[in-house]
Amino acid sequence: MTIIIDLEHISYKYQSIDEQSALKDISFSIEKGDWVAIIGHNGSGKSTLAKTINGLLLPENGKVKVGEYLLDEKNVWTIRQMVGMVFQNPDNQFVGSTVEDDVAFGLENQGIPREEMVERVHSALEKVKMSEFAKREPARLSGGQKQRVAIAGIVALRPDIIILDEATSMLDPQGRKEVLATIQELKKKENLTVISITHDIDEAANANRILVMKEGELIHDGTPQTIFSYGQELTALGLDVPFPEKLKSALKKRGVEVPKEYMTEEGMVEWLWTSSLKK
Amino acid sequence: MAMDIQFEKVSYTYQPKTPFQQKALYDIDLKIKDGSYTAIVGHTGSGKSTLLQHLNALVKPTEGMVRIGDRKIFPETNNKNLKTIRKEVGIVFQFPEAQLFEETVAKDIAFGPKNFGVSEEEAFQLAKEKLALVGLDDSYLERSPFELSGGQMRRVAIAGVLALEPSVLVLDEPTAGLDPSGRKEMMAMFQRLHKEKKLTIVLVTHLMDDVADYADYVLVLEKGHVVKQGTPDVVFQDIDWLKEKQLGVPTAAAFARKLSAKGFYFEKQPLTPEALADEIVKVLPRAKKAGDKDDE
Amino acid sequence: MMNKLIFGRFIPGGSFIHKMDPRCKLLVSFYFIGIIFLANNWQSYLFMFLFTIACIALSKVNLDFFIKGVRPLLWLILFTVALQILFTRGGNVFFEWGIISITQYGVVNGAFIFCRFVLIIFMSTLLTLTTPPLDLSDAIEYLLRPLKVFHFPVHEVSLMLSIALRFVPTLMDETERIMNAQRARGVDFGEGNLIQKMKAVVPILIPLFVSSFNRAEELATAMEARGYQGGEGRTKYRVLYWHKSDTGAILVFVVVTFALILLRT
Repeated sequence: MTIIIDLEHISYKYQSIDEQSALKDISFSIEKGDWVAIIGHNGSGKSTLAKTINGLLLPENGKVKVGEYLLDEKNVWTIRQMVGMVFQNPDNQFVGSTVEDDVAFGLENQGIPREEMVERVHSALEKVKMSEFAKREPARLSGGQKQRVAIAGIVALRPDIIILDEATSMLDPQGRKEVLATIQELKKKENLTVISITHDIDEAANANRILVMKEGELIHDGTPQTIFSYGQELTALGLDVPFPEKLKSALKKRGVEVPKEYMTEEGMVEWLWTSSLKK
Repeated sequence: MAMDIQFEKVSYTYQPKTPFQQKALYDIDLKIKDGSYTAIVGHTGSGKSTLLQHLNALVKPTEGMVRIGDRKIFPETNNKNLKTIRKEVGIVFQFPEAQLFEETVAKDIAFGPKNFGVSEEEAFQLAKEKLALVGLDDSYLERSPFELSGGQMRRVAIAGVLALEPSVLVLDEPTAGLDPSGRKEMMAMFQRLHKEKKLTIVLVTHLMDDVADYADYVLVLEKGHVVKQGTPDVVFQDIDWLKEKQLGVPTAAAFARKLSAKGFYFEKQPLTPEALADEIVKVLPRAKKAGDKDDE
Repeated sequence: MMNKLIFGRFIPGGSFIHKMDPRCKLLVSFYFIGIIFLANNWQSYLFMFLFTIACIALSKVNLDFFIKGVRPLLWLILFTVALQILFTRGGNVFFEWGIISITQYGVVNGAFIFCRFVLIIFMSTLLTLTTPPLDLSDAIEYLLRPLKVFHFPVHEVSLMLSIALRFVPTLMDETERIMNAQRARGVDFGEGNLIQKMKAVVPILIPLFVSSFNRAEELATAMEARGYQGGEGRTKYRVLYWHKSDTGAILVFVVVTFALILLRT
């Protein structure tokens, strides 16, 4: 496996006079093709961390490497082309006046010739299933649709990595589903590496690795199975508690002995069924 | 006075008699009982926000009648004198932190009561009291609302509505954008207000688990029509219908259904993990040991 | 409140006027404003009126929209007309009191000025009703291009303009939301004396400013993340197409100018 993102001893302060660092000596690396979820309660530093990856924030100390590029003034634009980022508020990242204009924005910045641009805009919209909305204005789109346009704008730049910075937190359940389904499909087809910063259990469940942030520090790093088995503690870590864990704790209260390790819903149904047969 | 809210054949049209006219509500009949915890669910664009604005006469119906307490509002009702209704029915809009504007938290919370003629001192007293109610201590009173965290700003905004001392509190997706612990605390706070202060609560939400956990009555809106209403038991009975409308189902109910498919039998459809656990213990041997080799 | 403003509102359609190149429309609209000052008798004004009505008919937009477009400016027009009538001297005197006099010339001039106003408003309303704002901003950018020689930031100005246009609906929604929230807290808009009215605006303006700044900051971050580094080396996705009919439209205006010169005295 090739390492695509490598962070070494990253520290960051918003203002040099701040006592508290927003990020404290963070090191980890991410492999190509991974889906990594970063969780943590609001203010834990997870968004700050994400912004150091594409150089929107420059760390006080430490090194960031994306692909073969070390993040510095010279490489920052190359890295931004490799790392696409979808932000939280669907309205505040919509630059263009129509869907297609918005998707083209990044391409215009790269100085891509118009013929190629038209083609890439259309294929990107195709990929997020927004082609029929190409001429629409943002005011006439739902939150989920706007986020899909934002994703198309990134996909058109053919990135290696896509970061979802709480990209689904302002959406209704339907919008959330749309966006997640879009990312899942793109990840497969385009061999993307995905980093999603989230509180949403369904989104985190897509990951093959979860990083937990607390007060600027990386406190846990593990598979969803490991992290989800923390049960009720997860709320404090900034993640919803998975339903099987909720049920387990309700059963425990009623004197039922439940297994400690994390179970998916299907696993839980199976376990309950076999248990009930043993009566 | 009992603050029942009742809609009789209410319709609402935006920009009537212009080329841009658009109907948002059709012949709505509903009743929100005094002391209830009513949930309103429906997709974005189902007319929820328009309906909401009728609850405190921010808009008047274009047809039909809305009764709020003993006040009746018709399309032709005079706009003056509607203000007193807004003291009785407080609305916390989506992302209410956007309404903060004063220099200090205390002034911002006192803003509402002062608009209704409450004296400076009394308003300040109310600010103090309501700030405590939303879980912030006195040290916040003199701080600028703009230097608080997002969750704290929202609490201040909610305190600003509570300061009107309404008997009905309308909440439009009050937990949107908060993290899980913030969400949990916020919902617990509303529950406390409902139980202790006897506030009638109207909750607009997409989260069916919250509906199952808290509401005692549910209204389902679709394309400007009330398509279903009743207690959560009744509304969540027909899971297929909810799925077809893509409205979502309480997780516990969906899980119970998976168990039923396996062969479990439930006397009553459980809507919360607690209720589901109650049902399960009836069929599960109590002395079950952990670590039995059936964890798969 | 904002719904009453017709000026600046685009009405989609497929008419000849809708399909014209926005650059052409913008140019001829300005040109029209210029040549209207050539008209100086009732024949030339009548001719310009007929021409304007013909343009409106061609656009297939209901005449009502144009009349509504005049309404917000009615007081300004009447004021100017009144000044003309009261202070122009010459010809038969109908009424005189101090420096105020109503004379034949005054009345005629007043009538002409009224016509001029209405025609200019009709023509510019026609421009905005049939051209999406974005196309207009493209046209402005194109027409400003020569100014690059003088280091005028044409690209930046046009990007600013298009972002501003894009955020108009967003901010209108936001304003409405904030107004509702403050009304729910007991604010009465449009009641009381002037000072009370001004005071009622503060709880809207401050939140609106705060949110606009937040939006601007987030937008800037998003733009930077998408590789925006200023106008240098950028290509353009939007292109404008000049048709033969646009050249035709320009020719029509040349003919109109000649006709006007022949008709004036």
